[in-house]
Amino acid sequence: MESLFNIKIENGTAKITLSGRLDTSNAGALSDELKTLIGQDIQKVVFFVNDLEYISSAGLRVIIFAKQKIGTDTRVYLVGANSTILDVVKMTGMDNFLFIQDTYQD
Amino acid sequence: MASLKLSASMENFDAFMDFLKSQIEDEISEKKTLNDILIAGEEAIVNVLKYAYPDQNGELEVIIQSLTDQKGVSIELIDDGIPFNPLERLEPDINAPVEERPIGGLGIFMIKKMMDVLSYSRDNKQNRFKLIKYY
Repeated sequence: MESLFNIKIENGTAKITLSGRLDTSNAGALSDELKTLIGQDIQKVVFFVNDLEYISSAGLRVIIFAKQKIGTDTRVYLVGANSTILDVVKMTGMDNFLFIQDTYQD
Repeated sequence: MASLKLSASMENFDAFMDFLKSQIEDEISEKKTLNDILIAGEEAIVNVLKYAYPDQNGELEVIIQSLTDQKGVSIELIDDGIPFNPLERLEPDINAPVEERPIGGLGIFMIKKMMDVLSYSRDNKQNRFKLIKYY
């Protein structure tokens, strides 16, 4: 299964749609995309993950990266996660710093 | 029992993961269980591919077995790389503020959370890391 991601930037909000798998084989490519957001005055990074089925630590690191490197005041949202993804997020304590929502509300 | 032995390079990451998935997906109907095993397997495989052979080329063998005494599966990873006991890694502080989190260490933590029994041995200059999940 291919994983696809799509990034749109609107008014200081980066909207990133993830689908399929976010694992060791493609997390680096997403991380490279996110690096282009550094210094762009991004206030919010919103991951839409309705169609994301699998995330490993490589994928989680990309989300941590978004919070650490794009800006510590940047709010990071995780929207539409299924129970499998939520289990992993909670297990690793990432729910402490993510805004977790079923549908996006800013 | 099934096994796959390939060069321990990231180019073979997909081959190892496809092998693991093909061996367990018919056996395990519960999605969360299947997912836990795939994630733990990925973390363990990637550790070997990235770190076991810093100065030379080498191989990784993955052996998958259904358990007989209890419903479950065992995944064993064998390599000839540098000694590395994943069970001795310190756990990351998952409650630390995000700014202070190290980017590493999560993989092993997830393996410990997702699998039921882990064992490591070093014999004949080989690392053997075994992960068991009951279902």
